[in-house]
Amino acid sequence: MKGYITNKVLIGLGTICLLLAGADFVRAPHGHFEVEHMPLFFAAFGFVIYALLIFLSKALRRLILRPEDYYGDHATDQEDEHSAGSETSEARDA
Amino acid sequence: MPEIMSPALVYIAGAFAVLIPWRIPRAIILLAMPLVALATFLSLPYATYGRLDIFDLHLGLMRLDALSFVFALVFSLAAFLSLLFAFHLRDRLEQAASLVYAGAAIGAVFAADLVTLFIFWEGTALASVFLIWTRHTEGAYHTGLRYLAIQIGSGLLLLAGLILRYQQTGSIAFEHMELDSLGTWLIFLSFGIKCAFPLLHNWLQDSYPAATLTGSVTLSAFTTKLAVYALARGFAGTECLIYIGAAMTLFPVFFAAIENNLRRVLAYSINNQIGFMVVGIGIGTPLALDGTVAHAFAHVIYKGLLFMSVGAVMYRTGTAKASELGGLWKSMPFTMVFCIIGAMSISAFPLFSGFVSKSLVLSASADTGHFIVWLVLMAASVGVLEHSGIKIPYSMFFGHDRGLKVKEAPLHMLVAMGFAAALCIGIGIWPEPLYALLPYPVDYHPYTTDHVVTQLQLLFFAALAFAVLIRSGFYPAELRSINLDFDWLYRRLLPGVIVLVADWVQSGWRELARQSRYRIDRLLVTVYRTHGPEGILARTSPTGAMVLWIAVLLGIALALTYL
Repeated sequence: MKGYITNKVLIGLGTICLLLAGADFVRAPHGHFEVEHMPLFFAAFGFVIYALLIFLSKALRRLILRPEDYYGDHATDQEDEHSAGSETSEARDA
Repeated sequence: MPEIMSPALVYIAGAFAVLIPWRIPRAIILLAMPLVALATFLSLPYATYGRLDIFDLHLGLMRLDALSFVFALVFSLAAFLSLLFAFHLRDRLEQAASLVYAGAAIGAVFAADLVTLFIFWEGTALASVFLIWTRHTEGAYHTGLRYLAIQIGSGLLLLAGLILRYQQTGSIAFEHMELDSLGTWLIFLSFGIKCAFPLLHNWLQDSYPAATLTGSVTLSAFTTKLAVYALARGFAGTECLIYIGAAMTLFPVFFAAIENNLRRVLAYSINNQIGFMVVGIGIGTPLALDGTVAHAFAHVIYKGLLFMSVGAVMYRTGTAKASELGGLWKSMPFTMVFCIIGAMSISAFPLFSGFVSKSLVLSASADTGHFIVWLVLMAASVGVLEHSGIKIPYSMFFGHDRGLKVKEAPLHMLVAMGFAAALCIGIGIWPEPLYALLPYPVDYHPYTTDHVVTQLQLLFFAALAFAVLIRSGFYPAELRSINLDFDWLYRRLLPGVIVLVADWVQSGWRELARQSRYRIDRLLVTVYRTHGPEGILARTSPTGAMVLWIAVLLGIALALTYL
């Protein structure tokens, strides 16, 4: 999974983030709320909420994860998805 | 173009083109239908056409104004793109169903009265279920039945509501309504079901992944956006919609993050995006309503594009499950580029369509001082980046390389995706033509330094969090699995309860029958003893006995008289 997030990608992303963090001090905030005037609010918000979201989702998964055949024949989850119209099923039909 | 009753009729008549036996001429004629229908209303002045008076009901088949025009325009576009994407299709039933479905949705948008709306509302339900059933499997059949029950139910609520409203007000006009009577509440609930309000949302995640790969592209465009239109027309400024919408943006992101089926991820993502539109309707200011309409317009295109890219991958690989996909960037580079364009649009990167539409809603929520709602929408925006912006393209084209050797998507799919992608970027770079279409004049400039910098900070720092989490192994693994949601209540719990109750009733009934048989048997024995051949009452008594008994009876009567 992590194969594509190489050190290079990480460094590149980090550089962009650093530049954007620097840009925070040249923007002219004109938001309606106080937090919009706080330095780096949006950066911190994005990072923290993303991480929080992942951890909460993983906690949720412990509760609601079920095997694919949970609903049996009454759902398509366990079916061969070729039946949804992929070319191999077309070739089979023709 | 001569004035016709409703462009829906073009689609419905056009559906007969599926009788053409040759595949390519048939597909070309079907593809022309959205264009013909578009031509019937594109240059008409705003007014209500197709007026009919049946009994005391004033029907209006085609109300053309700024709001209905934008939705009809984007629906026409969506119909064209999804038919182009499905150009290879051999299944005529599915072709006819997509055309009638699109026509019914456009007919509903143009409805000037609730009766016409009801007819087309049910039309969308009936036509669209065939996009699921044409998968021709047992699971699709059951899923279609569940979908149909809920969609038809929504229509019946609308019917009940409009009858109550007619009794009360004497009008069936489809205008702005207040939530002050049972009738309007029923109509509101009916719209809410089709709009997939929280806890009424599961039909969406249940049915869209069960449809055919071309069917889900078509499905993604119409039903929910029709409901958004209906809410914007009927319930703009209804405050509870702000909170319903905010809840809609937030809760699906958790489910989407751990969902394995990418089409179901996109279905959750529809919930989340519709939430932004519902918040805009709830706020109800001109800026907010413009935001809702603009976002719906942009959303139909980029969501269609995302469904098309997943569909193209399904077409080649036969699956849309993240656990089975990965590393396709080498074999399907064009599809990857188009998918990423859709992903960046939905995530609202500057220069992409979501940026210029979603910010209207966010701005409207800030203008009206809804701080918590604004925070929720911001958090939900991070959520969109997670499931639609990163997870969809990453798990198909990068992620684990599964060694899948497939060809690039067929040409017609690439053209359809390319067209949608060009629109996503076009709207993002040059939003003025879209803004000009909106119902209220727009004085909004999305490209201020402040807005661009803060939006990029939000997105890139969130992306950095993704990179850090995936490197440290905290990112949720893709597992062949499903996740329970609220529909567990009616797919598992309710049938379970029904079985249990049925068991109780059955055993109770058996016990009752056993007991009553026992009592009846005993009664019969007693009756036999008294009335049977040997019974006391079966004896033939002499006349004197009768006289005696009459004397006794008279004696009692006499005594009672003096008591």
